[in-house]
Amino acid sequence: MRTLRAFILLLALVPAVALAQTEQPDEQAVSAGRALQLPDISVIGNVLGNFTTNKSFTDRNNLNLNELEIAFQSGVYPGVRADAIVSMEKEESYQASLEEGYLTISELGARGLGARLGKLRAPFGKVNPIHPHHRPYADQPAVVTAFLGEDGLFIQGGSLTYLFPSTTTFINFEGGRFRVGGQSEDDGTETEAEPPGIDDFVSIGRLSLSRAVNELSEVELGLSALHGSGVDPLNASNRDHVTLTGIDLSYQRWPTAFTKLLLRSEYMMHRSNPGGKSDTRSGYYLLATYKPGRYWEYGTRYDNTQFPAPTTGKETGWTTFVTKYLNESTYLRGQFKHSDAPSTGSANEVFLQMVWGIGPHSHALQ
Amino acid sequence: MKLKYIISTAIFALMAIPAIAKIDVVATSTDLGDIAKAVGGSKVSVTTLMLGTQNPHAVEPRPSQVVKLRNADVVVRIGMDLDMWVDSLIEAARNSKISRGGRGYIDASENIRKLEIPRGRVDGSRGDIHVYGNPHYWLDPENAKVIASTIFVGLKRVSPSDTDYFRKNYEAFADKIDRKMPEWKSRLASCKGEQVVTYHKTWVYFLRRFGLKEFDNVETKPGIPPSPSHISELISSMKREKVKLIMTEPFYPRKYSDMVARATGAKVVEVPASIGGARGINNYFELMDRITSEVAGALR
Repeated sequence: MRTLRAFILLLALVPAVALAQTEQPDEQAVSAGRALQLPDISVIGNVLGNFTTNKSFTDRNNLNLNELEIAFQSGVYPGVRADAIVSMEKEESYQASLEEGYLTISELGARGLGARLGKLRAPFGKVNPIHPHHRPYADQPAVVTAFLGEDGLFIQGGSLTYLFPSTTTFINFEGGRFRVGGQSEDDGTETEAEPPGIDDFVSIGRLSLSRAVNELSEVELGLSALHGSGVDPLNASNRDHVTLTGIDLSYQRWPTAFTKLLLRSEYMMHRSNPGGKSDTRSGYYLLATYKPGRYWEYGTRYDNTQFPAPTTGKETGWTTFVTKYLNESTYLRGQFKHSDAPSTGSANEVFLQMVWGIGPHSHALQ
Repeated sequence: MKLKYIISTAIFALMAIPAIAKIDVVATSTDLGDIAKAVGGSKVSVTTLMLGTQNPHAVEPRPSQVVKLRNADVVVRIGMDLDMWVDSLIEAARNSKISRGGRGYIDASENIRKLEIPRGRVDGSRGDIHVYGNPHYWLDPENAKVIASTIFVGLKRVSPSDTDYFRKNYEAFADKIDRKMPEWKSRLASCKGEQVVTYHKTWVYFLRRFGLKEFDNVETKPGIPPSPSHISELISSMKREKVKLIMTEPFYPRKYSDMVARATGAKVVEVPASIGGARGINNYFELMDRITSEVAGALR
């Protein structure tokens, strides 16, 4: 409810901003935003259709405005930047919520030391911190859904980041303590999804290493760890401790100005003790994308994952996708996916997606 | 006695390190890197983030580039929202010396007289236009002098004790531009007033300096690939106005330019807009030599 009120307040400010801009002569209007200390304001719309013959999918054969993301981004102090991202997602009706709202402190006393405070996408794994509209596919890898939740993992808290003083390799560590889910609305309902098996605080650490192989290619390695606890799914009176670890490896090559090859894999391992018995589940995906030019991108991904206890079975899937970029923030995508999952059985799906963006929009380097 | 000698030598060596340490300059483009080298001389060590073969609009920031910026004393950027990709790198580098407003932050466009500042509403319907004007300003040699002057001021700010050295280098660079300018101008003198089609709006500053005119672009709008109707109109208008030259950079697709050239009898000249964009172009003077020679040759 509070986030909805904040959103309405922000929306009320937009006409005032627009009025202030239109009152300027043309030439000055060009830089009016910066001159008036307005933040960068942007809107990203995500229109998504999911078409399938599998009747167990609840929102099938519809083309919807799946999500509208409104971002306000600006520096607030030397070395401090604020990002506020409000998201309106389609549930039964559109629900507004604060997707992210955090401060990034670039230099915290010592060179290379920084911090992030607030609500953000958890810095766990390679895909989770990347906003869906920046991903090369319309869905989410099954392993991310299985271990981090349907929309990925969002957290609230603070972290310290440190960029190591290497002269050849990018080595960055981020570690922090956060709260997951559990945000109660006035009526007592929860507004945030929780990752399976965790319902209060988590400690998260991620080490990212990246090195240029040559001027045209780069290899990245990420190691992630998360520890938290939740209600034991086999004995509700007990708390169960969960440890999630992940490793991701990416190779990127830019042979020419507009062509790009990306090979990526991400593996996650979920350890818990349901009913006092040690249990380990895991999953991974393999991804390859290729941009033959400025406006087109092709890709394919293979998913293979188990689920946290007590769910049994395994989901596997194969998907291929093609994207036509109109510009940096607007594109059309078609995707075909075949999957086998314990809950839905075998399914063939076609996704049609159009993402459009207006206004200056940026995200931290991922 | 020996120990005293070792200690005093070590202290002397440590004291000498700051004196011999070079200013670490990171430039976003090869062109700015070359001009920074000319002004900074032996007092600077210059690296660049882009290759000359890359399109500055479409550079994907990479974590390994953060490493270069983390220890940099100075960053020199094109500005005017052309190299916006460097902002995320600067932020990730957590180095206050080179963050916006820091002593080592140099926006090379700062003192440039900007062309094509858009009037009216700026949004995606006008293509990928830049709100601060056309950002390809380094292709006018007179602007290279302005860039050198801006870099001189920035280096002076970072290392005031080297001001005289940097000034001398800046003056030498500006003098060399002044000496080369008549050669470049005379090469293109017979082409004055010629109308030129360019693939992208890259050559506005260059054409204006040498008295040529931009007739139209192969792209429908900046960053938007040519549509069949635009190509058809372009062919008709080029025939009518007898436009003889299409300029394009090597990274843009040739097929549209070639198609228009075949239909109109115009020549296509593929010239790099940056140092390192083709073999044998290793500094700013070689870049301008190549561009002026190619254009003059095609219009002869």
